Amino acid sequence: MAWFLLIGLSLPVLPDDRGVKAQAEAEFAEGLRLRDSDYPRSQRCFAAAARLYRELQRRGVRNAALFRNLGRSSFLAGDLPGAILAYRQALQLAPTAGDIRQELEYLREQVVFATPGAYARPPADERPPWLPPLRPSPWLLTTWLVAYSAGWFCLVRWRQSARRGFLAGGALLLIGAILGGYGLLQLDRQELRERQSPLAVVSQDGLRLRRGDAWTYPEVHPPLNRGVEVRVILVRGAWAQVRLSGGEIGWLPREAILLAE
Amino acid sequence: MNPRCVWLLLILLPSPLSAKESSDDLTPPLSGQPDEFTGGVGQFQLSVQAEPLTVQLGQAIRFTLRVKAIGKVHVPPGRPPLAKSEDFLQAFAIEDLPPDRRQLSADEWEFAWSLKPRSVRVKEIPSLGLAWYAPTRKFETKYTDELPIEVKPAEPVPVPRVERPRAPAVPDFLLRIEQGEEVLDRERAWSLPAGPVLAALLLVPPLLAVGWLMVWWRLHPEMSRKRLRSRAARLALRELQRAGNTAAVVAALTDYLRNRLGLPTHSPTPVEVATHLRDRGAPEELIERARTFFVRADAVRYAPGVAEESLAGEARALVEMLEGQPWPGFS
Repeated sequence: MAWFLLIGLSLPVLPDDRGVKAQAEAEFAEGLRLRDSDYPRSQRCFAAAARLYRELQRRGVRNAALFRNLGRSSFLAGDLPGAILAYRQALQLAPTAGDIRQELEYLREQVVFATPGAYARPPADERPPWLPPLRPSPWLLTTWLVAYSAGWFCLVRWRQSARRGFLAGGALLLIGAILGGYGLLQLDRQELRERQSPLAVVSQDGLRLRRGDAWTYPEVHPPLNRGVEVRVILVRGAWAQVRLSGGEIGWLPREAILLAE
Repeated sequence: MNPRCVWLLLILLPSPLSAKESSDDLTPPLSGQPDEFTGGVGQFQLSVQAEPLTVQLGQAIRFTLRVKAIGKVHVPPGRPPLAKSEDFLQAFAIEDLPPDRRQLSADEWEFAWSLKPRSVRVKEIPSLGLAWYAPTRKFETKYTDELPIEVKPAEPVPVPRVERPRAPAVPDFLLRIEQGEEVLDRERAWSLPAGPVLAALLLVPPLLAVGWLMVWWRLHPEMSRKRLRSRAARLALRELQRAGNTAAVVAALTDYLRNRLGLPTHSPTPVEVATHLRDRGAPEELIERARTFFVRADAVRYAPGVAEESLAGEARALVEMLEGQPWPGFS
């Protein structure tokens, strides 16, 4: 019993979430203070802030604001791949946040691509500009259910009152609900696909995809530099099979990519 | 010795020439070749050498393999493919050094490589295997010993004193962080419910709508009848609009009375119409008007010398009057 007490007292007491958050904010503030006078030390402070935000993430905290803070801390610490990954995660949680999208664009502009053209560039947003980015949510499902139910309500009222306005309204609502329901299913499938092949960012310069999961396999495609965004299809041992935005598939060492948890 | 015995011995003993031919025919089979086989046929012994054995990270080690034949050389071995060995690749950056196969003597060859350790954790040059096809007509593989080496961290290159690095300019948005309580929110990934739940969500509204309509009709039967009436009246008024002669007008009004009030006959007489309306509880004034309409229609259709007159207006008025009645006995 005494031994357990002794061991328990000797273990460092980890602060709670608020404590970790406060420590991260203090490190970030210290980094800002030192940025002009002692840049290397300020980078260490930002790196410490990023580590603390990652600790919060490890504990299950997950929101756009946390990932944004992690992205900013990582970038100021000189970790461009970590910053891009954090911003991509923030955007997954808040797809409608235009400022997060703009900040991510700035980070992507800092990536030095090894080849000109579209190879290894971030995936293009093929969504029409008038369509807000959406992701499946309880609110979206509730909205669809309300519209669908309202359509049927209008049809019943039309049968009761024979007013053509109810017929037109009901038909419009039901057509909208059918189209919206199809869109919702597509969004859900897309989210499922993204979950099955998680996001990752290349963290080393000059890496080339290989045909297999060993150094002996031949290299394919031009080299990749830090900050290139990929999707992980499969992790096998020390290697990960990845897909680039252009569809190119190959293997990279697992330690050479940052993988979203 | 008896000369006959000598001849017998010469016949029975294997000829030296045929023995030579059989030993020369040492073509290695294509199947069953080990990974380490590089084409050598004969019997060989291996030795390796590395220099220097202590290097700094970034420096190269010259690694040589000597292969010496034991006995007759049939085919000398080729260069072992070091770059295909996972052990070597993980530990070293490998470069083949020319020539491809250096001949030291008639029965000895040397292969050389430049090995650059990838990290200070590399402690030895791994064992290297080489296989050959032996005169026993079997593949034999031998491995060299591991060579312990020491890799030291690279000495920092002395650089001239430079100015303290300055922070690069970054946009303002990168210099602030979110500090609210929302930073600690725990959002969960959400996806659509499973198929049965979705099917239920899809089916419940129409089922509720149908149920509501049925209950409503049961609670408000007069509204249901009104709808039926309205439909019969709409049909009759549309037919009267199109009717071009008295027969069509009479047919439209008769159909209305059949659909609306259950008149049993297709070609009713004025008396039958009056009787049916009386049975249904219609007021006398309406009965008389309907009877008069059918009398006039019969006169126009069947009495000789009676001029055609438009009865459509009167028929429409009758339909509207009939629609205005409560018809308590109708179901």
